[in-house]
Amino acid sequence: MRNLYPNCLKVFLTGLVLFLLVGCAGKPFDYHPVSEIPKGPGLFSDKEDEDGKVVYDSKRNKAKESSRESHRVTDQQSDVKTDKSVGDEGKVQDYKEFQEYQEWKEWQKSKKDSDEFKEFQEWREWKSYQEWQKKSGLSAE
Amino acid sequence: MKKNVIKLSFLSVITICSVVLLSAPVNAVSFKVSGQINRAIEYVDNGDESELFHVDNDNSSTRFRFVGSEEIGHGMTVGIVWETQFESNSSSTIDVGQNDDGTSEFTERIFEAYFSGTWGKATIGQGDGAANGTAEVDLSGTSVVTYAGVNDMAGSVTFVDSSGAPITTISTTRNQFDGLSRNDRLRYDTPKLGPVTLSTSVTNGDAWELAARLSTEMEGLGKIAAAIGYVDTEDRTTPQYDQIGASISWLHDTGVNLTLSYGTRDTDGGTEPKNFYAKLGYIHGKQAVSIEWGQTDDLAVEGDESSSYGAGYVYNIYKGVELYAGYRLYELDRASGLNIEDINVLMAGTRVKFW
Repeated sequence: MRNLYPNCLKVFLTGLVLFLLVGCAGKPFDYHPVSEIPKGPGLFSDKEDEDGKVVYDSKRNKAKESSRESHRVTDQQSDVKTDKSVGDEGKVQDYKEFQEYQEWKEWQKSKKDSDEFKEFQEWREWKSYQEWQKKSGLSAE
Repeated sequence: MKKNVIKLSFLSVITICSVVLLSAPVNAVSFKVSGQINRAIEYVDNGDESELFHVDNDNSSTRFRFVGSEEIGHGMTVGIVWETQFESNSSSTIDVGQNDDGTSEFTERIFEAYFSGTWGKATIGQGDGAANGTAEVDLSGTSVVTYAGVNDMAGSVTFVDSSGAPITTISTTRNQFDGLSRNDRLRYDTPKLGPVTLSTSVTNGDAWELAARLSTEMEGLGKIAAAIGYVDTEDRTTPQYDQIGASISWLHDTGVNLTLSYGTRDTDGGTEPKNFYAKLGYIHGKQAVSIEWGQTDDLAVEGDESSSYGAGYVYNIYKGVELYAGYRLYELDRASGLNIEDINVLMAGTRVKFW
């Protein structure tokens, strides 16, 4: 070996000891070499934390799949909710119909003595008579 | 010793391959593409003539890369890095008198495969030697325009004397004595021992390197990054040389930062050149500014003092987009007493990381 080698090795080892001494006092970080492509997102990056265009990432794909799965579960749950809401809507419909029925009964009472109501009652009686005739085999004509 | 190193290296590869073959696939796969365009306009005045160039900034050239990895079980990851650069009229190759677009071609940077785990990382292929980057540690935020590698800005520009006669180029007289870059090698990096990582590599011509890197953050003191590397080129270069390069960069929480670099080389039967570099900077939000000085002694000719003074400014205007401007004054004092003109270089441009 030439003259410089032992000196270089001494310098190297001294530097190493200094590194270890200094290093013990802090927490490590990742140094990025100066001439390399800088870290972090580029101009066309979709995400702020992206470093390079991800062509394929199985972890990300798995995350997507699990996200899709959770969406599916959520959708199914929402379907169940929809059924429940359909049931609720049915109840509302029934209630509305009941209200209309009550209103109709009120209207009947209020129109009880009117000529139109009397005519309507006569028409109903005549219809009942017709049905009776059909059942008993007699013709109205 | 080198034969033992080589045997040990091959043994390591065989061991790793065996573990890989016995491992069961786990299917944690990642594959990414990224890249950048780094273009600038550069004004050069060699003291006799001046010229305006449209260049690719060689501080961090235009390039793209593919990075992929897969966890293969037993805590082991296998990965690949494929990185190619394409520079049209590189800033490191221009010289006054050039009037065309210079050369433009794909050049190799990194083509490597690696295996990593709790035991560290083994890399095979083309890429950085263990000591590469150890003389260039920099936390100033202005390294895209000024850093210890002063040849990247205008290394091929020629110093001329007062009559305009060429003397020598900047890069012949300047060097930061960094490790071997872009070589076909086998490299091993230890896992982080606290904030410290140790590395070694062997390459063609039996050249080998050692390095230690530190990156730590201390409350109230800020970040400190440092590295030291040793290179022995053995039969790889003629003449053979031993080299040591070290650098440290400190970034205080206030944004004030200081960077120092030192390197020396013992060339077989030649000189023992030395390089010193210092940079003082300040980072405020998306902006960073710095001033620097550097000097290499005795590289081309015993007694040479080749120095530079510079300033740099970088504005991170948008995600992945930087605007920058820098200035350097290169000087050469030669013992022969020649009256060598100073070289002034002004560069302004943008680096756009597209992914």
